[in-house]
Amino acid sequence: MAESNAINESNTSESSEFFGLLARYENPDSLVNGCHQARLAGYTKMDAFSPFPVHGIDGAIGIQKTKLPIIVFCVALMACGLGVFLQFYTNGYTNHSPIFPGYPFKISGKPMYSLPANIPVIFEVIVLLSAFAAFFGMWILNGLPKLANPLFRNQEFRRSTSDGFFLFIEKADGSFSETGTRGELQQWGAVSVDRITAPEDELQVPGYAKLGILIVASLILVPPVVIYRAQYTKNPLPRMHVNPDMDRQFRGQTQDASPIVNGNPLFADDRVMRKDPPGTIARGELARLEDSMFYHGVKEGSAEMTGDKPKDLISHSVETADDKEKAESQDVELDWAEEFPRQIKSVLSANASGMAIYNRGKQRFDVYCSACHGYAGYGDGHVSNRGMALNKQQKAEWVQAKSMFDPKVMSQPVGRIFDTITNGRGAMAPYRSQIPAADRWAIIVFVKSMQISKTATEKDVPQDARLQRWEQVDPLKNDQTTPPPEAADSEAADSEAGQAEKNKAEKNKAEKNKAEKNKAEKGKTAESKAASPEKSTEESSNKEPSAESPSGEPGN
Amino acid sequence: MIRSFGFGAVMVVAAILGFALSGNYSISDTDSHGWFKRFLFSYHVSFCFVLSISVGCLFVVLILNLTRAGWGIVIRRLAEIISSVILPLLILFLPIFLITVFGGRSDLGSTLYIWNNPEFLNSNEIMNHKLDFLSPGWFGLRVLIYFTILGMMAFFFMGRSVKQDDSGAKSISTGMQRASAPCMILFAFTVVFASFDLEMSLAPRWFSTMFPVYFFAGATMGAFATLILVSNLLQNRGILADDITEDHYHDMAKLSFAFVFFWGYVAFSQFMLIWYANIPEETFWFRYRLDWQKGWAIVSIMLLFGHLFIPFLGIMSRSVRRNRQYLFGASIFLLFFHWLDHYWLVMPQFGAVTSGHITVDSNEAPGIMAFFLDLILGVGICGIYAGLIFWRAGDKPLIPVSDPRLVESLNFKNP
Amino acid sequence: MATVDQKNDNTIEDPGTRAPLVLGGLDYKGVTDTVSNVAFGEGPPRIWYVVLGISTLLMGMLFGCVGHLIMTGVGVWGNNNPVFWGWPIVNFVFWVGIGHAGTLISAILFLLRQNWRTSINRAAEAMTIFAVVCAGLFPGVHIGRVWSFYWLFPIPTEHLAMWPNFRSPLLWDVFAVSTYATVSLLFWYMGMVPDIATFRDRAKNKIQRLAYGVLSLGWTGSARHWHRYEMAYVILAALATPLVLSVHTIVSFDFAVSQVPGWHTTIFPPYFVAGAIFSGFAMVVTLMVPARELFGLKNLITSRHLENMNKIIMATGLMVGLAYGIEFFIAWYGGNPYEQFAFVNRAFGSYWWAYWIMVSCNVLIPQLFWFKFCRTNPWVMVGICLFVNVGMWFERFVITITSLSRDFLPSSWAYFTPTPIDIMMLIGSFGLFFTLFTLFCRFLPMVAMSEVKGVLPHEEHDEDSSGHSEHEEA
Repeated sequence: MAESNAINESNTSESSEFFGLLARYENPDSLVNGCHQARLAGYTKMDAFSPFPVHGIDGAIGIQKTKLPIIVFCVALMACGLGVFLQFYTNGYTNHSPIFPGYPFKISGKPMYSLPANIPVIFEVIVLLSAFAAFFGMWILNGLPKLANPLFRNQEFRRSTSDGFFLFIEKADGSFSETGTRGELQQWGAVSVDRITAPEDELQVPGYAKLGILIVASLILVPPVVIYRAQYTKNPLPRMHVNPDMDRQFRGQTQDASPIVNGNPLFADDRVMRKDPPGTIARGELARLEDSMFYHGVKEGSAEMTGDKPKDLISHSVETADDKEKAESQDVELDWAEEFPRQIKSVLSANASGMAIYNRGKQRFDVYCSACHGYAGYGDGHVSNRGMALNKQQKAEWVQAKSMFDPKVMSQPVGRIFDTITNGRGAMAPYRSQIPAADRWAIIVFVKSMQISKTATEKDVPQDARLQRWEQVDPLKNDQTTPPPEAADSEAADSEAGQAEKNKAEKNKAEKNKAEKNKAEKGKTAESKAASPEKSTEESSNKEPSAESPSGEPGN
Repeated sequence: MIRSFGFGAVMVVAAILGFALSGNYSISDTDSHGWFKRFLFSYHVSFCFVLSISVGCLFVVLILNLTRAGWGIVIRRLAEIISSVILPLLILFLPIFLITVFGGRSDLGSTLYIWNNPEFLNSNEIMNHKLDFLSPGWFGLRVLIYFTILGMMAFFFMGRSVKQDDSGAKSISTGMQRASAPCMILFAFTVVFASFDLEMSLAPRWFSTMFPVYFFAGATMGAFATLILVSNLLQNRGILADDITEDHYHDMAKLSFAFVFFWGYVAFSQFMLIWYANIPEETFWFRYRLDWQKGWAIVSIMLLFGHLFIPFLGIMSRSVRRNRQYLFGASIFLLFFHWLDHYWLVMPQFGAVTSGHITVDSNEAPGIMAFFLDLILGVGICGIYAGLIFWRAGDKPLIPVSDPRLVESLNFKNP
Repeated sequence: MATVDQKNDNTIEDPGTRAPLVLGGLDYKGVTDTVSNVAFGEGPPRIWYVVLGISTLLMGMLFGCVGHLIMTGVGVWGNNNPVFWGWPIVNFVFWVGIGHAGTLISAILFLLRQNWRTSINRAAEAMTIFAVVCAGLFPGVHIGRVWSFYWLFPIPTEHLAMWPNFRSPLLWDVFAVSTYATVSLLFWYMGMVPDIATFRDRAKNKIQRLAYGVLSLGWTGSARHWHRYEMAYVILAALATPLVLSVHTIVSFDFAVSQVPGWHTTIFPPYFVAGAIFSGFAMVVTLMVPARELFGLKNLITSRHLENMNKIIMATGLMVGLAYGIEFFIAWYGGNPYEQFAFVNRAFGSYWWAYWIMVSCNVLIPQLFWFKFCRTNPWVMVGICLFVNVGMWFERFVITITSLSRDFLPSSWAYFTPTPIDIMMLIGSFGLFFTLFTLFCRFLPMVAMSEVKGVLPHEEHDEDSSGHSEHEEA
């Protein structure tokens, strides 16, 4: 009945279609009221239009709560996963995938996969994709863009974006009858009620628009196609240089000849690389002049050191063979320090740090010295043994590495040992550039304690430490040591090597574990155990459990 | 009031006995008073916790006045009352104050603050230039100044507000708004240095410019959680039942949420910058807080989830924010983690080694037993704190009855 | 009565009643007419053409410089050892900072229910986008080989086996700034759609109708659409709020994750964000005061709006000042001699003038806003805001250049001097910014009409009015 009535009414314009009735209200509150009434009257296919969101209209017109938040939430979760995956895939592991391979590289000492450094990008990916979901989701749910709308044909409806408040009831609604609905709308406070019609042909998308969209869409495809093709082009020509200045820069390359300026070489000696001006000292090295005890192992104020610079400080000192021989033959015995410099002493006096410096020394000894001098200091390291074997075959003239327990070495003051490490002796090369001064002293702490252990008797070990010693030897107990936090930072890269004595199996194992932390003290034997830092044998064995074992094994 | 004082005192005594009887907490041989030191650290945790809530509430009062906010008038008086116990809280600070200031540079004086320990100072050259700043006298004076400034500010706003109850003069509202701007500046300066002195100087060699912001973010979150909790407790007894509506809960929950997120932002930024730059003088602080073997990493992970992720998802939804019963549980959850946050700041310093410039060691995270004692002590201090709040509340009306914006606040609807 | 006063001067505060946000008794239609008049009225004032002309010339100069730079290489800038981050990065941080106010106003103030933001948010958002365009230009051309810019993004390649390094803060910057630009654009456009629909319905000729018609996507103002639209707006605001914090946070990470003295300090993230809001609001005030005069928007952008913005400028300025103080204190307290030197050098070293310009412009001059006269007088506030903009540019200059020019190695210390190209590009970037902004003022809705209407009191209806006319004020 309602249906036929509507069709009859729409005959006014021949080819136009009737959509429904549009009622205008004076203000937001009357609109809400009108919607409310319409809903009570059983209308469902209706919509309200206003220039701004009207408070309370959702309930009046019966709008379901939108699912947009759930959509966005799901997209956010997926984006989080994507962000994590993207960074893991591209930076996090050695990626040999056949399709999109990667080339992992380490930057600023950060791990290959480090979550903290990935959080900013994860966050941005989440926000970006969620915003897309909210934005495009909203338009899609709203069915927009929809540029043609029969309502736009109504002149009055233009006020809906300025100051008009409209209620539109569709013809398709079950309770719709044109006259009845019109009456009801007016009764509910509508200022005016209009019929909404539109010519049928106008509802189609015009042909030129379709064509235009097609052209734009195909044009958009051009760049990706070009890029894709470019990946497979085998063009032999060199790359285009847009800014050649960046290729040809006015600077010298390493080991190059001096650049020519105005026909003359810039530097008279025709070299690009410059020597330091004579007598210069690198920044931070001045202390080496002043603290002879710590940096040269020579007693404070000793005459030899005050006059000239020590030889290892003279920059770029070119040593000829003659110089070297002279230096060896001269081999002056200076006023060697008899005891450790104060910096080391103060550390040794404290239990925890004393052990730390001992461990450090042992570890450095293993790294630098053991190759020749052997892990236990007998001068039987791999290199030395090999050299001796070659001697026997008349293939080399190798001098056996010194044993730490040679009486001559045993009697050397610490300063002399320091000088040996610093400047080398005989066939031994100088190690000053490899081992910082503090580490050299740490090695000496270790060497000295090895030497003490040679002559020590059981009486030198205090009663309670003797018991503990057997406990420590127990192979089932894995006594682990964590380096102190600050020291560990610098050591992280070249972590402790395992220490083992005269035990090849253990040694191999230790080398395998080189990179691993916390495996330091695995093959500890009774001998090295008894060798505690000098002077404080008693104290240190007392304190060892609390200082060394973070797992807090009861030592006492 | 008497009941909560009594309850609090009993719990505190129980915790003291617990610490005294439960064994040896000393971390080295030179520590003869291990259990007392352990107790004092635990006490400091809970003290900082309650103090930060009051400081946060003072911020709430200031910002409500400063922004002429309408919605929050009904909860402003509660915030005023809670913030006005800052000065009385000095009584709770007394043990720490006496030991640190009058203990001087000695073993006793350094029970809590290691910068009072002569051995520590001798072996740390880097402390030389701040010897005067971190000295007992100066520290004591500064702490008194902080308490005075914050306490007087709280008293001032409380006093003006109560005065308005009688007169209803609009000029009082305007006056409070005027005063709140300079007070905010004073507040910011005071909180910055108070957080440096009270908590950051526990690790005197460590420093972070972000620390005050971290303290403030946690404190404000704690304040909103407390306001939710207090309004809930009052409404359970039928007080203010019609005045604080779900719309107000909605807003308080939103602000808690905002500060949960802000806390996470600040905490992450602080961690990130220190982690990335990897400078030893800063990283050690995080290093032992992220130590799995000693257990502190577990506390850190708990904070990450309990102080950020769980509340972030837990109070995200609108319906949840309008549910009073749910928020009751959520606020207790948030407050526990706010307490744990202070625990995480303070407690790892308990094991700082006094000598040697290489090692800075921390103790292990507490076992269940010790943690239980810490909690009991925390509950006890909260009891005393609640007593102080009841005492300050007296018979004042719990909403500013004559505030010109009260009507707006009562009719407030959250969009 | 106070309310009567508020009708004329809405900066008067009367506790208990909310001052009107729109003056001149404008109703819905009045708001529409006032705003549409800019686009469809009798044409813009003559000064508009003057500003557009000058800015276009400056913009041309900028593009000339960019072309020269691309052809020659980044050596045309003054960047050199040890100051490898010179003016371009200073300009980048400056412009990104400016670009924070828009999203702050549209997102954070929205979540805080600050209804006064409705009059200014549109223009501020537009300003944000234009500022981000200017900001993106500098690092964009700083990469040297501009045509390889796509290497910044994780685009899979079959042969190169290369990905960006996600552990680098500079890459985070790429993600942060591009996300920020995209989301701000979406937010801005979405907010503008109903207003473009208003323009569509008032368009005078076919071209206008077509352009606005397409841009408005067929918006009708349906209640169902509004419902989803409002939800999307809340969600975008909630997303944009942490986003706006993250952008300048990540920019600050560029500096603070390093170990350069004066850069590595943990307060940088919130301090940068506060500074960004500070400079952004100053720029909004600088733009809005002339715009409201020229386009007759004084009833919409009232003194109260300006006063509120000035209060925020003062508050953020104080936060920045506090951060300066904390930095100095911790530099001393931390005991790192390099750090101590860096800060003493800032204040008393060879760049002392830049430091004291920064302090006086950012901390001292905004204190004038304690006086109501300065907060409400347009001339004075524009003057102060110009100082703030200068000060914030110098803040970035001080952070970047003083730290780099005197870092660990005294043998490498050097005094940074900009080249003419540096200076021309900075001036030219203002040209680009103002060109875009003047075009925006003329052709797009400058005030969010639909939002302003939403907060207008329902003057024709008594029922429920107390519940509807609440306006939160800052």
